[in-house]
Amino acid sequence: MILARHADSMLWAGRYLERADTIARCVSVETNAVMHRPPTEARLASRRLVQALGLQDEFVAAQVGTGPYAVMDFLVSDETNPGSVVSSVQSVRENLRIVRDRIPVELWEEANSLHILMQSAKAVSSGAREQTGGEVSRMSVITARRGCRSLSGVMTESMMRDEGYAFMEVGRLLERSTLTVELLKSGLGTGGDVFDGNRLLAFTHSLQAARREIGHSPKWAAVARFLLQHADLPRSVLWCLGRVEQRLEDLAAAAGAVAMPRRRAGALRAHLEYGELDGLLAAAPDAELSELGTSLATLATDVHASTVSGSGQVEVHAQFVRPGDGGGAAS
Amino acid sequence: MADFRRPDAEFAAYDEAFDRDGSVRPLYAAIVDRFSNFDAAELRRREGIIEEEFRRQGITFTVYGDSQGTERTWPMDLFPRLITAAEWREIERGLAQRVTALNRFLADVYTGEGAAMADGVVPAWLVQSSDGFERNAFGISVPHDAHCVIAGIDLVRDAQGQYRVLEDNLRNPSGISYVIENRAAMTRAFPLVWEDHTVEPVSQYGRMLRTALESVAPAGSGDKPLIVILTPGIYNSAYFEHAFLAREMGVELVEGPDLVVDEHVVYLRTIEGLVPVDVIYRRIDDTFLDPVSFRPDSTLGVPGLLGAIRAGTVTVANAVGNGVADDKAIHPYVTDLIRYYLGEEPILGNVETYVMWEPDQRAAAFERLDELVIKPVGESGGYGIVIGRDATEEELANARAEIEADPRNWVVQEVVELSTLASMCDDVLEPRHLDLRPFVITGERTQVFPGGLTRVAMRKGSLIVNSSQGGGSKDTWVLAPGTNSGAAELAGEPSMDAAGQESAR
Repeated sequence: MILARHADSMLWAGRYLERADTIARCVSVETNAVMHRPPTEARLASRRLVQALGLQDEFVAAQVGTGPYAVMDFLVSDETNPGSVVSSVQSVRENLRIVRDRIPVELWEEANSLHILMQSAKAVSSGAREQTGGEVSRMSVITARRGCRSLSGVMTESMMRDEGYAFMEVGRLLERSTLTVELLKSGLGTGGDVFDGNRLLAFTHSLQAARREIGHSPKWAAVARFLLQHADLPRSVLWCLGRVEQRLEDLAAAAGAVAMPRRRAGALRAHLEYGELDGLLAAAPDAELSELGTSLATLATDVHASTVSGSGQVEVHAQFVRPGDGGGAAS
Repeated sequence: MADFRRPDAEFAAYDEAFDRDGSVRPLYAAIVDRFSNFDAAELRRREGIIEEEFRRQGITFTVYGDSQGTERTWPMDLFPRLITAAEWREIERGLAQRVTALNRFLADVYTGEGAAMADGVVPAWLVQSSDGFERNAFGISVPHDAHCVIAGIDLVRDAQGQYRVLEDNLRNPSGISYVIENRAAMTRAFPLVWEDHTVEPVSQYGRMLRTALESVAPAGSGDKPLIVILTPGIYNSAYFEHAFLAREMGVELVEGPDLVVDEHVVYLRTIEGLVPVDVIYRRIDDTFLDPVSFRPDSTLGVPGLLGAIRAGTVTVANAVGNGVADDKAIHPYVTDLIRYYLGEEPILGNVETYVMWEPDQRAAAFERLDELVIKPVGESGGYGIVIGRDATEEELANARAEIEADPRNWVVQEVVELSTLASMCDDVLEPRHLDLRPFVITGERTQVFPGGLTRVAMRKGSLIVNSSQGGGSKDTWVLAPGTNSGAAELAGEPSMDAAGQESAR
């Protein structure tokens, strides 16, 4: 048995955990890639990342400075940016705090420790960002990535496989799928950018695996197939949807409140597994990826709705939902 | 070597660890010896371990309106408080006696004949004018008459070393989670100090409380009643404790909107649908409990909850209306209530208290207000207290005027020179004043949890121990019978005595 409100918090804790991990990884990849290039190029690359992560509105609102590392700081340590790493970590902590009584003590302690570390790094960085050449944000990225890995490990090894775990895992996998699709879209090369398949694979933590499967200089279509359809890659959308479907089946057996999202996850998984995806991606990749993004957002909305459908409307804490993200509780 | 500062010879307070001549009391000999082997840097290092551990675990409390931020790490002093087995036996008996009488009083007020009022033990007008007196609770009975399932009784030790009751907390006493976390922290930071002592464990609280809550479930709840803890939410000062207790008991931690009442039955909103609830351990005040019956603007409570309680489909612990029994104005009468209901002499005496609505007592108190402690009956957490000897003439004049304007709202107590115990202050272990809040659990029977929360005023000379006002805490050891240090109780420690000086007739 799980409270509707707790289910919602677990779902969002999972989403924010994945979001913090992915953004930290992307920033790390991006900064390493341009480390030996002029600072202006670093800034341009970071701007592309802002777009890929769907944070343009927040970027404009934050009135980010013109320094070469200002964009990186915006993505990593800016608390006014609800999509930054530090904000996402804080949201993981806040959501887990709500369910503190039902999760393993170690999971809460890891989340709390990561939050404290990120906050102390932020305090240092506030006066010295430009002077340190983005070093504080770089260190924060390393801290966040380690912390997220640790949280994932504790989650996997010590959590009871109950409804709470199922919602948390569904949240993570849906966020991962959504971000993978968004990053793939950004890699289409619009705006005159040159497609860099390796960077895209590194963003999604798939580079090492891809080298064995599709070589060192893959074309966009090969990267897209790999990230969308690979059955054994935990970062691929197909793999994620297969797990989402399983978790929703578990939930249906326990609670029976997730029939709609379960059907939708199944249909979407089948489309990726058996549909004519190659042809669709070749003919209109942007449209197909947009369609996929919309379907994932709808699925996320359905899952969120299922947390309250069993018992009527319940007040849930406002969460940050990026454009096209789904969720139903946008602030 | 750690530097233990002995209490000043002219100091009036009883020191727990050192005798008047500066020699170590036998009870504390082993622990003082242990600590003497640590130098200040080592003690600071261990202090750091505890603080870091509390911070990492998020063992916090909230100070409302605090400019430093909402969450503050729980403050714990390194040097533990020790209580002998024999001392504890007496405290235990005294507390069980007191809480039993208070539960009888609550049953008398709300479901009985009001006998204590009719027989003049407590003035009826005083009961009816109490802020904690709740007319809505009339006629609502509680299984086993356990109106107060969880009580926290604040004890102090006077200059002679006698334990006395300073206050009763019968609504939502907090602090038990810190008792358990203090012990865990002490175990981590000083793994070897346990070699010299056998100490009563404190890890059983969750089981004890759950058993008590199960025992007050409404008839027909089945073998495994559904228990929940109702919290105001993550911004409440004691949220850590609420989550801690839910985890320790293995029950759901819910907020008002998680519950709904339909046809006088309380349900939990789950993803499976609505599930009926049997027992609610509420950690919100009466006035916020049900917007239909109490404050209509409350968003923390559950509309219709009082109707469900009255229908007997759910038990709420602690019961509605307990505030009448822990009203500071009722406190002076509790020893008489013990005699009245139980026919026994009180084992624990009150701190001597004067009631301001009695003209003689008021006049006597006004003559030496600068020697007394002035307390508003409606405040808690140490707020609103005026300590006469520290107050200016203007503050005393204001207090006099306020008492005269509303005598019902004030009590005046003799200053109790709270006992002191060595506490870590700027690299030395100096005597600081402390109190003790033991917890008493009532279900089918009344049990006293070993030890309790020792709160310590970290400022030199201060008598205010509340954590919201800069107080700290200490791990509290009740020694097991027959241990080496436990035997020290036979070597001249003061024993419990019958009730001290009561007043307010």
